[in-house]
Amino acid sequence: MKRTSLSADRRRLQARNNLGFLLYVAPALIVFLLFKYWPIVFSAILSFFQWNFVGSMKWVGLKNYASMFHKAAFLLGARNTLIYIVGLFPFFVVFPLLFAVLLEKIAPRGIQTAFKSLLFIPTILAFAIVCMVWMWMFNPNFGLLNNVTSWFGLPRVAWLSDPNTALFSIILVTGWKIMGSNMILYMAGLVAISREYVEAATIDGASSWHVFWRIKWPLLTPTTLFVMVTAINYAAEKAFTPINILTKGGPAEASTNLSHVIYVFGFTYFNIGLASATAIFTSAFFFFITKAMMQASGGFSYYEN
Amino acid sequence: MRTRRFPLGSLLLLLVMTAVVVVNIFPLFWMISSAFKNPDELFTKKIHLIPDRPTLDNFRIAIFEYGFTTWFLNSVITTAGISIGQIIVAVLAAFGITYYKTRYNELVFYILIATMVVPFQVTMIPNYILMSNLGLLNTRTAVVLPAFASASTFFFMRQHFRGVPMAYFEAARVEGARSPWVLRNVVVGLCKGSIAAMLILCVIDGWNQYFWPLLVLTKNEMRTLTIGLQQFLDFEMGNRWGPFMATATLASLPIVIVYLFIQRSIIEAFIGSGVKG
Repeated sequence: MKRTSLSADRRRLQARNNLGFLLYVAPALIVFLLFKYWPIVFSAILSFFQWNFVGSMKWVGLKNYASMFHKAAFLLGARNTLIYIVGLFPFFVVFPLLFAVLLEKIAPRGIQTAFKSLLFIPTILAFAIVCMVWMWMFNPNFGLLNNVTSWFGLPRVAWLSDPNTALFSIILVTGWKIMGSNMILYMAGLVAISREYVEAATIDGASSWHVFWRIKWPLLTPTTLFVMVTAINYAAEKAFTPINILTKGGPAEASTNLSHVIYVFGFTYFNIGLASATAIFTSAFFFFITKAMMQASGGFSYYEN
Repeated sequence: MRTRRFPLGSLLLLLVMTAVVVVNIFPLFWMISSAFKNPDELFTKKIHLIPDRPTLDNFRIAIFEYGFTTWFLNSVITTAGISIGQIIVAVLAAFGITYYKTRYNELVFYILIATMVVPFQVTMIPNYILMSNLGLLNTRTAVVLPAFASASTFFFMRQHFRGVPMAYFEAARVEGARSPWVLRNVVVGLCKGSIAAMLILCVIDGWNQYFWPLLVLTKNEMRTLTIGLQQFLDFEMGNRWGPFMATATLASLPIVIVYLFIQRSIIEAFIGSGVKG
């Protein structure tokens, strides 16, 4: 008798526990389902239809996906996204890591801290606003960049409207925006590396070059991995801001990326089906490349414990 | 070891890093400097690092001839809405997941966390349609609502709440404390610092929003600063760079000033969350 009442008590307690849990997570579940999960499903549905925001939707099957691969804008956007990943690599990994290592060596702590906080400033500024400031610096007639290059007798460059420099300009601005914050992440990673490893290796006669490549670099893998995933995210998605402000994807789609292509398909041509198909493609691309990187890095990463 | 080294190395290092820092913050400096320039110093092939005859004309034009105050106000309201909403949703969910032990904990955790890999493009059109169907286009509500679903904010809060010793929760339970009391007095009390740090990151994020407001705000009186600023560039002749720089300066200064005062906790929160920015 006692047993059953005890388990009934426990069940009641369990039910109260579950109810409490549900009440606290409900707001999150509602907004995440509404603004994240349902949109994914709806995008997938829309990608099979022809629709222009108004009027009725027409089922077209896989036609949007097929025609996507015949659109020059899409092909260029996909190609450029890959170029952006490669072009951003130095700004995401090489420079941040190099400057993190150099900055660590600066002896006066005050200067080191001051430099660190100054290098972080681009991260906190609005990307859209600084893009417009850069636009002025890129100005072919009165821009700072051309005023500097003409000192050296170099010809004036139409940075943003020349297809040869438009991509580079976008990479420069995006790289500038992210460099400092990635450096901070690498510095945090370097600090976390146990002194004992480095000291033990040094006593054994390893040069600082060896210490870096054999000990520090492998231990920084989680940071590098995270930074690389961010780089892909920037190349495919966040570069929308500089692209839309500086070049509008031009000249002749030379600097567009996948997110800008989706924006143009959806909000310039009102081709919702095509835009959704491209969005689904981009998400799949993003997902698989991230997953592949995670797996590839699993082979060479060292984790403490 | 250090004393044996020739100081030239350290000096060179200092010089190199100074150059890096200067290049890095130059655009910010150029923006502020240009905001005080007269047209003849702006539209020139010479480089004027600091204006010879500084003027406040650009600020006057930005404030009185353009919608600076409206945009500024819209930015303040949407930023406040985004930050507060995001934090409340995240704190409640993170508390629920740390305080209660049910067999759904893991499931809910992964449902929320998995959205970190969902790119913005795949949600933007459905969310736009949703806002349009709700009649919310060109409202601040439309800017604010979708931002409530932030996986990184939730993750950050949960990581910090996990640090609260279980014994505190058990003691509170034994004493018969109700969960809102535990949330307010134990969890929020202990994690005040990290909640504040996350709030700052949310404010920076909200203040800097561009893509989503660009889609849902098309009327001038609803525009936020990042969207409104583009008006200066719509003039093909481009002679509005002065007022633009003034507006950009006014828009950036609040964030930069806040940053300079509490940079340490901002950087720490940034490293802790890792996902924002």
